[in-house]
Amino acid sequence: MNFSVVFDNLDLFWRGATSTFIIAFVTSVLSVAAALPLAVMRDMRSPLLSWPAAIFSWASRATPALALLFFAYYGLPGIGIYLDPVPAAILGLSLSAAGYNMEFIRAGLQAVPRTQYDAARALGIPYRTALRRIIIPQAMRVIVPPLASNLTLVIKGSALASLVAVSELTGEAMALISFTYRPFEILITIAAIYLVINSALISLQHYLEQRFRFG
Amino acid sequence: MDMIVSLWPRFLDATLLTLAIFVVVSFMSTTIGLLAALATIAAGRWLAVSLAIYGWIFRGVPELVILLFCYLALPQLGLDLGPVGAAVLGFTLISTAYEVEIFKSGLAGVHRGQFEAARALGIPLPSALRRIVLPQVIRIVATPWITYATGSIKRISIASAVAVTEIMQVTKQAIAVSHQPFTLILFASALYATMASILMVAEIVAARRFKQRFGLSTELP
Repeated sequence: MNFSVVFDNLDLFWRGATSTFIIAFVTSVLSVAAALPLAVMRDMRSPLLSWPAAIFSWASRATPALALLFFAYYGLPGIGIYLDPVPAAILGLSLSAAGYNMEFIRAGLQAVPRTQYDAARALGIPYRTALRRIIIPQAMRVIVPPLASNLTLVIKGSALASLVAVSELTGEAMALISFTYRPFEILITIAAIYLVINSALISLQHYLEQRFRFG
Repeated sequence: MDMIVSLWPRFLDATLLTLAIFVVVSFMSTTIGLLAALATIAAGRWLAVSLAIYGWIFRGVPELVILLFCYLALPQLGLDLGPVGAAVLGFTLISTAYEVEIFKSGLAGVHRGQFEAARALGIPLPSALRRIVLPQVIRIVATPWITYATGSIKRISIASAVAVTEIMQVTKQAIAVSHQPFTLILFASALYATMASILMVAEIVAARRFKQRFGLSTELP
């Protein structure tokens, strides 16, 4: 066991961890941004709106994240859409996370009493304003904890981006293994880095839970 | 379509291998997870602490990194399991971490008084566990167990990264020769989605059945 291979390449691990963090952050933001309108659509009365959202939710949750990543990177060029590795990875991971986020957000919206919608309507507040100013702020309490814990899942999921040629943490590690052949030391190191990132996020999650407890 | 038909035997083998890995991993991780959760009742702090550290590692490190470790790093230490062996070991280590949590919360859901009542009646602990505690635990854990299994079967796709010829690996090979990535990935996704959907339906059925018949909700049955 010789960890000099790690200390000689610290910059590479740092670069990898930064990419992992950026990919996970962008994925989280995009997947929530996509999930919110879909969650609202899912419970609309018109089947033209609710059905596409329901089908998306099912497809996203029933398909492996890796299949969605391959679809974005290898599949889309088949119909003339070419994405670079990083955007393709972010697209695939966001599609995968959006299905779950949608269900969390839906649960949060349903937890707000029906009477709040009725009251907003009785006061003549337009539906969009009611959602933005009345319903969503109350739903946040229910939505934030699972969304925050989803963030750690997105960090873990971002390792899959290495399989579509993205050099995030796992990708950098695999490249380093292929020319130093020290898999043990290198994999232990990146496992430790992932644990540190996750622990930091779990602290953030506890903070957010406290912050949103009283709405 | 002709391409899918001609590749069907390979996809069938891949699907069967995926299912076989799923069954073996689920069986081993459920058994070990249940035994470890039961042991925490009797054993002291050290077991609880080591299980917490184990869970922190195997639930925090990406599945891909753990599989790569089993496939690339263990041979360096003299344990060469081959692709399927490495994948089965890796997934079992990961799933066990989650199954322990599922069964621990299941056991926590059984009232302490039940253990004490069984003891007061002179029922030996093994029979009390088997006849009194486990039947209740199963009702509590059925839904979360199936939810986890759904994620578990999808995760087997990651084994393609360590040369296991499951569905995604066969898809990659087929893309290399046929140049029809769009259709092939859609087909592979459909295979996985079918397996996952069966479990997703089972999850809804279990949730409904156990909620109604055994009064886990606040309402009386």
